[in-house]
Parts: sequence; structure tokens; C-alpha cells
Amino acid sequence: MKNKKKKLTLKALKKDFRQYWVLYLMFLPILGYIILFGYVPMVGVSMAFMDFRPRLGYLGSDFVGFANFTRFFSSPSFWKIVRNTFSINLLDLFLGFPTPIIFALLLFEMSNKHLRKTVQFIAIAPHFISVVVLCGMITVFSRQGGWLNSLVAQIKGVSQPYLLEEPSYYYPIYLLSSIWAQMGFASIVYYAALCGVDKNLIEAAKIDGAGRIRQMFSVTIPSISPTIIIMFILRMGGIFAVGLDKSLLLQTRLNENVSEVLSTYVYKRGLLANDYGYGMATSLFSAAVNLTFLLITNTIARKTETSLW
Amino acid sequence: MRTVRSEKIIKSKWDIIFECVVGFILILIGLMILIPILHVIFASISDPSFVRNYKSIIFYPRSITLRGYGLVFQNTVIVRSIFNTLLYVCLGVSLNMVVTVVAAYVLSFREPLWNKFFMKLITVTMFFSGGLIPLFHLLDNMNLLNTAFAVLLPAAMNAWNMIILRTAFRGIPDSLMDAAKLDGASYIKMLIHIVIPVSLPTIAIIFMYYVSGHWNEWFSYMAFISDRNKYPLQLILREILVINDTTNVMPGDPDLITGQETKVLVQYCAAIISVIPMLAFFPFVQKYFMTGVLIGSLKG
Repeated sequence: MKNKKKKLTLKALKKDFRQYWVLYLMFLPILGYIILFGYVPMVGVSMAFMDFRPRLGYLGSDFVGFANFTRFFSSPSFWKIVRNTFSINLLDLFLGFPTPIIFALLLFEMSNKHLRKTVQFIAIAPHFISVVVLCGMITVFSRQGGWLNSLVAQIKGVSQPYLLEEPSYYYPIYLLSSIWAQMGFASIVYYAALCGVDKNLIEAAKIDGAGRIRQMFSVTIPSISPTIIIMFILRMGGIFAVGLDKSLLLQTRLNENVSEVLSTYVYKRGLLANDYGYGMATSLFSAAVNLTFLLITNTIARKTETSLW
Repeated sequence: MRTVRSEKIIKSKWDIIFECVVGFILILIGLMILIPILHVIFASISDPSFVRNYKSIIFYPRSITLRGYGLVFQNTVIVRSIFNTLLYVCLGVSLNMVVTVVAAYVLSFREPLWNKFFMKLITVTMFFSGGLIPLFHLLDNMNLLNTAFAVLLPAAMNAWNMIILRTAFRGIPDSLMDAAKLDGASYIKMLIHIVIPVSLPTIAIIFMYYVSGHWNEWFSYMAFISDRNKYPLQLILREILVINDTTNVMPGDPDLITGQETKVLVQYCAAIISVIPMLAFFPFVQKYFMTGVLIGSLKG
């Protein structure tokens, strides 16, 4: 309140500086860091409109307008990449998003403390396994001789030399391993929210004769809906930001048709093939789609009175 | 006859069935998460010829041997990469902690006029960034490519971690800070003698996040470092496990049966070795996760 009334005069600024110069001095290197690594690369967005040559720099490179974008939109891989990126995300939204919520609910409903703590502990542990080891284990398991490969061979009756090279297995493997690794950690947010639910509400429902399942749907889940909505908005903001790590690690030449997503494409074209302008245009497109989805979801969520801003 | 007291304890028939179903599902989930981990652990200490021929999940180890671990630790490429990782983690985390603590401390003060602006600058970078390609170009211009700093400097501060820590700093009672101010303590003294000691639990979580982040990082090393001698463990693991290529690591003919067996053994053992430090860390900080300390601070 006080700050708002205070006018930003030169005198006030001087006084402010005299009082807090130590703090500002401490922050100075950090400010430099933020500008250098946070804002200077933003200039690089202009690469998307250039035929960028690193030797010539931003000023020396030729301006080409939207040529990079048209090249990307008309390239044969455009629809394939957009389709893959959307597929993985939608699948993850329908399967990967609800599982931590369900898991947190199950934990919350479990009255045996030892069982609850043990399962929670086990479920969080995979979060600390590096993505390289996770994907490495997936590849080892799905090669000939691996248990996953043998399991699938037993069920299907046909044996595959390497499951990941079979496009139809790529999404199930990708999704299930993501859920396996992240469900426990992602459930912490919801579990904490559940612990904060007013116990009196649950008691009241009990006295009214609501059974356990009824309590869950009428009291517990509505109470944590703000948390769910916030997490959902954040998730929607990343709809086009498929984890680069996993896609890149699980990609093989034979599953490229389903595994190539925007982030892997940006990396391959922009850095490996040195097509800077083209890569940047792709990356900008992906960021624009993400932002659009974030804004749309937030606008819808606003109607329920829970939103990011 | 039921008393009011026992009514709370005695559960109805449906409640018991409900709890049993929930318990059963939870045990199932727990097993599904645990079994693949146990499989890897057991495979890494079992006899390699058994592991190679046994095509399903291993539920208990057979003819226990630690040969695989011996092979891994004798291997110069892997050992060098472990040392590289340790060096990068130490450098990176020290940098992270200094930058994050100082930034969170300065921004935890509400009065300085510029702080709001600084905070906005940081928030914008959380949602917008130039992306990989301009960063690569910048690092190239700074002559940092092919050094560890190309990876560590851009990652010097994580904005989320900074905000979590700032919220913790703001939770320190004003009376404590005012008392120090009256005693004539400078801002730096207040940071070292009051703010840091009081917020140690949150600092520990942030520390843990940074350590596991650096330990598990691989992509930026792959993008920015080309010298194999500087590779961290995760990149070597990628070669051994994902690309399934042990020729750079293990000289010898991989087509022979013994070669195949060592390969499988080394794969499992290397995976375990890279995971153990992080998992060993985890029980110590687990209680902080559970209390929802982090979540509470995120809301603030």
C-alpha cells in the first residue's frame, strides 16, 4: 500500500539507492547473468527471419522474411512432426495427467500408514533415475533377450528383433515408461493438497451418510480441483514441448516416423545440420503454439475462478 | 452396544472392502514400480551367462558375482567420466547455490524499489527463452563451447528454485531480522548468520534438486561438448546402453559369447552405479517432500 502511494521521483530513487546499495551490488552479477543468458539469446529469435550464417552474425546475415517458415510449413515432414507431437501429448494428457491424481487419491484413502508410506517411497524413487538410464533400460529390455521383448513375443506369438524399431510399440513404451517414472513424483502436489482438505467437510459428509466413494467424489476431489486446474493449465502450456530427452534417446532410424517431434527436429536441423534460421523458425512455431494453448486454457479456467493470472 | 467413541473406530463392512481394494491396488502399483528396479539390481550381480539366457524378469539373483562392478571400475573410460561428472556437479552446484541464495535473499526484501522490476525480468525468462540455437551461437561467440562452462553457466540459476527459496526467506519472522538490524548487522552478516541457518531445510531441498539435475544432465553436454575425454558419465552410459555400443569402452570382440556376456553385465552394472548416488541421497530429503514444504512455498 505504501509503495503504491510513493511516487517514483528521482529523490526517492536516490534515497532507495543509498539505503539498499549493498543489496543492489550483490544482485549486479546476477542481473548480468540474467541479461546475458536470458535475454541476449532472445535476439536470436531474429534468426528465424534470416539466412543466418554464424560468421556474418546477426547484422551481416541476409534477411529472408518468412522464407524459413514457408519452407518448414511446406516440407513433407511438417505434418508428420505436428501429428507426432500432438499424438504424444494428447496420449500423455489423457493417461499421464490423471494417473498421479488417482494415485494420490488412493494414497489418501489408505488408512494403513505403513503401507501408504512404503508405496509412496517406492513410487517417488524412479524420479531420481536419470533419463539416460531409464531409456537405456528400456532399450535393453526391448532388445532380443530382454524381458519386455520376450513378454510381448509370448503374448503376440511373433518375436521382434527390437521392439522400439516397431512403430506401433513406440507410443505405449514411451507413455508407460513416463508414467512409471513420474507418477509418484507428480502425485506429491496432489497429495499435499489432499492433506490440506478440511477434515470437518469429510466428517460432515460421513454423518450425512455418504459412503467412502461418495465422499471421494463429492468432497475430496472438488476440494483439490484448484490444484488440478493449475497443473492442467501448466501442462497445456507445454503441449508442444515434448520432452526432448526421451524422444531423442528412444529414437531409432526405423521408428522416426512416429518418434520425430518438434524439439528433436529443431535440434537435428538447427544444430546438427547447421540450418540455424530454419531450426529457429521451427522452434518459434512450437513456442507460439504453446503460448496459444496456455492462453486459451487459462481463459477457460478463469471462468472457474482458478487461473494462473 | 456401540459407544460414541468406538463408532469412529469400528468400520462398516463396505469401509473394510473399500480399504482392501485400495490396499490391493497400491500394493500392485508398488510392485510394478519396484520389480523392474529389482530386476536390474539382481541382473547386475548375477552370473552373466545366466542373465544372457534368462529371458524374463529376474526375481532373485543366481550365483552372485561382483565381476561386472570390477569391470566397470577398472575401465578407464567409465572411471574418467565418473570423475568428470563429480567435477561438474561440484562446480555447477557451488555456482547454483551462491547465485540462487544471493538472488533469493536480495529479492526477498519487499522495500527496495527495483526488486519488482528484477523479479519481472526473471519471471519472463521462465516463460520465454531464445531456445537452443541462439544459446549455441552465444556460447560459440563467448568461446565457451567444448568446456564444462558452456553447460554450467547457462544453468547457474533455476528460477523455480529461486522463487521457492525466496518464499522461505520471506517466511522468516520480521522480529528476527529487525533485532539483527538494531544490533547493526549488515545485509551480508544477516544473510550468513540468520537467513541461511534458519532456512537450512529449504536450502537442502534446493541443493538436492541441483545435485540430481547436474548428475543426470546429458543433453547439453552432448550439444556443447565434443571432446570425448570431457564426457560426463551419462553420455558414456548413453553409448553403452542406448546405442548398445561397448566397443569404445570395452576392447575385445563383442561377437564372442564371452563378449556378449560381459556386455550385458557391464550394461546393468553401469546403470546401477549411476543411479545409486541419487537414490542413496533420496531417503534423507524424502521427509521434506512429504511435509509439503515445497508446495506451500510455491503458492506464496
